[in-house]
Amino acid sequence: MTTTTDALAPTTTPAALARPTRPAGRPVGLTWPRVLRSELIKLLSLRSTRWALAVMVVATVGMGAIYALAVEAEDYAVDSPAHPARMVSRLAQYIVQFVALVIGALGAASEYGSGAIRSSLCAVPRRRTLLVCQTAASASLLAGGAAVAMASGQALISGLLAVRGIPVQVGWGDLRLLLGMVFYSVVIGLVAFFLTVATRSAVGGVSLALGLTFLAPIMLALAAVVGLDWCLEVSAFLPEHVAGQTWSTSYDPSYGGVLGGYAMGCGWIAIGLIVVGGLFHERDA
Amino acid sequence: MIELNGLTKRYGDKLAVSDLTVDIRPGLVTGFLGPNGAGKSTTMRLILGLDKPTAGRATIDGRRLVDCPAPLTEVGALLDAKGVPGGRSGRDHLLALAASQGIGRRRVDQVLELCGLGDAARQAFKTYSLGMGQRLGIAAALLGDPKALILDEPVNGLDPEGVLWVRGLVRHLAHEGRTVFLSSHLMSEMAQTADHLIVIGQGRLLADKPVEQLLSQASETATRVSSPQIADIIRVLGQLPGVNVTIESSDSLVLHGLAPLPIGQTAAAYGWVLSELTPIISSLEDAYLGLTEGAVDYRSTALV
Repeated sequence: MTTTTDALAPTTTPAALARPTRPAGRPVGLTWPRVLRSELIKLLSLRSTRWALAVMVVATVGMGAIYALAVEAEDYAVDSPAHPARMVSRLAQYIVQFVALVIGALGAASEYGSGAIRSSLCAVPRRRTLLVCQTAASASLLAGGAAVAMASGQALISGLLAVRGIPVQVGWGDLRLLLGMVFYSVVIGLVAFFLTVATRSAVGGVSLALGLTFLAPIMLALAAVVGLDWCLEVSAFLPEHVAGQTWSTSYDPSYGGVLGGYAMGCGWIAIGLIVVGGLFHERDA
Repeated sequence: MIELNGLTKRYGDKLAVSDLTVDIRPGLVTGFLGPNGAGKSTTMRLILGLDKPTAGRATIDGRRLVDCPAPLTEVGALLDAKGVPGGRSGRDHLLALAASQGIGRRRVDQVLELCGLGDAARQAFKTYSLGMGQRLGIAAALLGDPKALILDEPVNGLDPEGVLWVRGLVRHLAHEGRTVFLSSHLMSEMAQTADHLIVIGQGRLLADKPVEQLLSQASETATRVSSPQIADIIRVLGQLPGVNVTIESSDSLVLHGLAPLPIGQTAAAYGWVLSELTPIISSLEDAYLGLTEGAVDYRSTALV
């Protein structure tokens, strides 16, 4: 940083303190769309968020490309769930989950880690409005990033397979898988966001989210093995199970099928908003 | 006007702010003084709604900040010069704040220029010095052209030119009729900037007075006198009831309990030659230390 004092010389003149410029005809003030736009600017202006989104897209597309080039050119049935063109969501599962989780945590951690939450609350003192808009902004970014990653991956894998002479037929079923993966990314990212807001710590939020996503299913399965059968029932409601219902090629109809998966995901978001919203509203910033 | 009415904040067993009732009036620069841990920053956070009061109320023009439809036009605040994510540019930080209330980009660039950050606006915040962070915080506070400003240690980290600029800026803003409430540990700076002072210690109000009144109340009557006839002065004036003498040198002394006028009149009557006759006025630091003597939480140990 080589900026000199002279370069920083301020210009204190009454004219410089003129009234704020504002869109013609629109009074200055808080509105939901404005706060949402403000939160999107915050998220997109973070280098770490941009890097994480880039990693999500590049890794998904890259893995798809490698798989499409490496898979054996057999005579696959075009409508089979095991067709290579249907592998993009399975291949991207872990990287998209992990990056979504990081992006969700980053959105909250950037506010609490730096103390920027105090500036945010001075501008938007209505805490529930702020939290809902932060949640919506994170969800938009996660959905956008995952959609670009999955669509690019699907397009590339289908193109490469076709070039290699493997017949490909992409239909509505494939769209369901992609939408499910996008939805799951949003759910897992928002779970990390809520946990980071609750703990006010990126490390705390990411650790808890990782535990809930990757560790809890294993622990509950082990508990079921030693006779605690109810753990399997609990496990069915974990965010990880949302994935199985919304983007898997085979899903469990006993939990409402695909719609049940979406309902569970929406339930996690609603519970997060209510619990963390209550905490955020009551505590000191 | 910022009104604090019975404002109280307790953290567990610790009473951070205790039944604080003051009005911070527009058109004045109101300084906020107190030892470390006295509750200054807590009070500012309570006004801004960042912390919830245990009891009492803080309002800005009769409303809590949370009830204001356009908060940035009501009050601008600088609480923490480092409160921006390192990877975000100063301009993006202000653009995000401005977007929340529909304030235009032109205003963002305007306040950045005003605060001397025009050239550094697009740099990542982690490259900013403490002084640049303060300037960005002040720019954020001015963003909505607010009626009131709350500035916590605004000159901390600024170079002398920056200190002078902040002094001119807050005086100008107060002159425009805005409410300016600022804290600082620099007594000399506060003495030159503030019109009115609020002093707290251990969360309690110790003083709420104009600067001149605080200084005059803290000052004892004392006069420095220099003269070749020092022995005559001690013999005549030093014997008066209520007068104490501190000899500083062979031709200079301080007469405690006497103002310059009676000394001058006596000198004229006796024909003494006086080379100095100076009233001794307490500094703001003296007044502050006198007020907060019994209300310090963290006391240092002298090394010598």
